[in-house]
Amino acid sequence: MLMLRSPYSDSNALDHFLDELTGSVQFPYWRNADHNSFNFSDNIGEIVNDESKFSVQLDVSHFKPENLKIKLDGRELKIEGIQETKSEHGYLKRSFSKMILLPEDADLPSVKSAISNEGKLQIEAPKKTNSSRSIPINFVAKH
Amino acid sequence: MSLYHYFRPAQRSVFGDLMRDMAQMERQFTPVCRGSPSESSEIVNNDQKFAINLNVSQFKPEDLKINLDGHTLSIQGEQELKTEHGYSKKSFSRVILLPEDVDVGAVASNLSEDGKLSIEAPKKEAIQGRSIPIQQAPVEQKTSE
Repeated sequence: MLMLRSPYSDSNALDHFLDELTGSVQFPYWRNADHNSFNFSDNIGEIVNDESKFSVQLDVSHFKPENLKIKLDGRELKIEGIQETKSEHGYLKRSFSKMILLPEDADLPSVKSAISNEGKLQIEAPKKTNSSRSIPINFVAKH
Repeated sequence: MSLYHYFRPAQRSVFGDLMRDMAQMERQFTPVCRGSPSESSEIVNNDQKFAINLNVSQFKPEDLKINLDGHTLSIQGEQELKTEHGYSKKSFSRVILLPEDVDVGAVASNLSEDGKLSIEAPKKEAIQGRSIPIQQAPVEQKTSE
């Protein structure tokens, strides 16, 4: 965080240039990924499967969001990612494909996904609410 | 508070100079940006050798292939896992064009226990020419009688 500029001092173009340069430079997460490492698309933690939700987290720090695909086919959740890079020494491509079978009590129309700034992809599906209700027995008087 | 100083922003003061110096000093200690990771730690290319280091600890040795076609080095890995919730499949392909002065007949690869794959190739040695001195034959002059 830069100090406030004094109203008494002369502000020249160089100060404005440096302020813009250092103001809010943040690289996206895939710029900081370790491209020497071919450990990618791991599960982060365990898959959560309890009575309220089904949740899975993936490390997608090598992939841009536009290079990721999530498809839901019935109960089959498919996550795919492709990344290609060209450098002075050659060519690099990595890809992953993951299929997760959602449990039967998952609420399929409510599946959501979110990606964090550290390259963590989270896909969550709430569980269906119990919709059974007891039906009272009405007595009918016989003639 | 008097607005006199704001209407004349060009007026200098000791306090203003001190604030500007402190701001400039702070900018020197603030890094402009974290450099994006370069490939220099991955590929070593010097006078003695050309080396590539990759982290492939998620792949088994039988999932990896290294192919050399002329000066084109290909490293491929494929892995398939089946879990209780489904399956996971991942693959990578790395194509590296070796420099011209690499001895392609001496490429060697090494996979460590913690999953570091290292491929090294020495550089060709320059042809050592040697100068051949010219031996001058002594000239014999015979006087014919």
